[in-house]
Amino acid sequence: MPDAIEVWMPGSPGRWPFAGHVRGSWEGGAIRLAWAGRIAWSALPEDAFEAAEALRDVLATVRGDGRFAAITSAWAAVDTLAEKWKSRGDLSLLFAAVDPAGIVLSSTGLEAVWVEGHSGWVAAALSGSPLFTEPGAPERAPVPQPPLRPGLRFLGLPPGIALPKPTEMALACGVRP
Amino acid sequence: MSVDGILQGRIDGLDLRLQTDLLLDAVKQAEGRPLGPLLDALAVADPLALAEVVCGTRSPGGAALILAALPHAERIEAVLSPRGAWPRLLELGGAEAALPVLTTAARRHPGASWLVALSRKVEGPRAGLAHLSACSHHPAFAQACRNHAEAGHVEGLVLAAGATGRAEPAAALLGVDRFDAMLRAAGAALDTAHDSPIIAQLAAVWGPEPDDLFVRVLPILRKKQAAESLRSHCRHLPKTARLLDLIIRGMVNAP
Repeated sequence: MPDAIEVWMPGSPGRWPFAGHVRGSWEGGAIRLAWAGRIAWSALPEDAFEAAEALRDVLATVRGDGRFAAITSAWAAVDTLAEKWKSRGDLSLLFAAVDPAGIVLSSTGLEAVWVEGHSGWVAAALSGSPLFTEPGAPERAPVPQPPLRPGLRFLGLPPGIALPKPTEMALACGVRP
Repeated sequence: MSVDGILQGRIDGLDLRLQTDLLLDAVKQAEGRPLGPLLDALAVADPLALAEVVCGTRSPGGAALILAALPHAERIEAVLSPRGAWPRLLELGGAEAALPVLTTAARRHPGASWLVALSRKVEGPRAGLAHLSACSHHPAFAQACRNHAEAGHVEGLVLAAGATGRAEPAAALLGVDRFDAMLRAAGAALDTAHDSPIIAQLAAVWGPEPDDLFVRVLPILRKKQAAESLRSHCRHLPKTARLLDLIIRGMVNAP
């Protein structure tokens, strides 16, 4: 069984905080890939839902025989998104993959990545990390990066989204009991 | 100038700013005669005099006057702020004119936050129904639903969901954690419009994994068309899809 890593992303401000949000995971043997992201999040909820469904469709195809391969597969899947969604240029997405040798992260459209450690949420990457790019589907698969600190729960912050208070983190990310 | 003449809109010879008393006296003496011609003439000649007669401090008020003034709301708003004018029109028109006043205000200012208080005053426990029914195709509809939800206008939102078939009232109720009311609003919307985008809107409020939420929503379904419409949005909602398949099969056999 791979470590049960998770990826969270806070909702956007406004009436439809989770429009276009996705969260999911894939497991194969000792490998687990988890993700959270948002697409078309500023569109009407119906359009954002359609975009999120399209993203879920392509991410349902990910596979890999190791953490790097899983992330490569994930970006290849994202590349197959319909142009109508890619051309919006508003995709934010964080992948975390684990296998027995360790964890790697890869992302697009994020300003910060945090990891939940024993003493709370701490930065998982320094500013200037290749993890931090403009929103949008990347033209080339970003190079995976190991997190600064180990952990099982990672948080991606898109531009303009503040880090929620620790006590409100789950709800702010749409994680319901 | 005779009262009859004034009521028929013959005001050419009057100084409308200095002889407002004549206009007010004519309105007071109308005794059932139509006020429309006078208000029509004032709307063209001088919006300030119109506003003074309709909702100034000396206006006699009454349902007949206020109802006759509603077609000239734009002219009244040219000289009075909407936030001040509409509560005043409501006060002067009494119960008989209250709903038309509220509906007209809602059509003109669908996104105005002051409509929430005005709705409560007019509709009591059904607050929000007239406002939301009047603006269901306006971009401000979702925000108006949220405003009413935050004010606790649960029944109005549920009724508005049924009246409009829109998903926004249910989404607004979910956004303020009124789960049972959300279920009723979602059911009412689907009864009216089986393709109401309930799944997309509730998911946008709830979070990225709404499967468990929708399993709780499904018992509200009463129409097979609505169930089938929801099913078409469930390819990544496995629990909801399984339950919907069962529900739809049961509906096939229902009388």
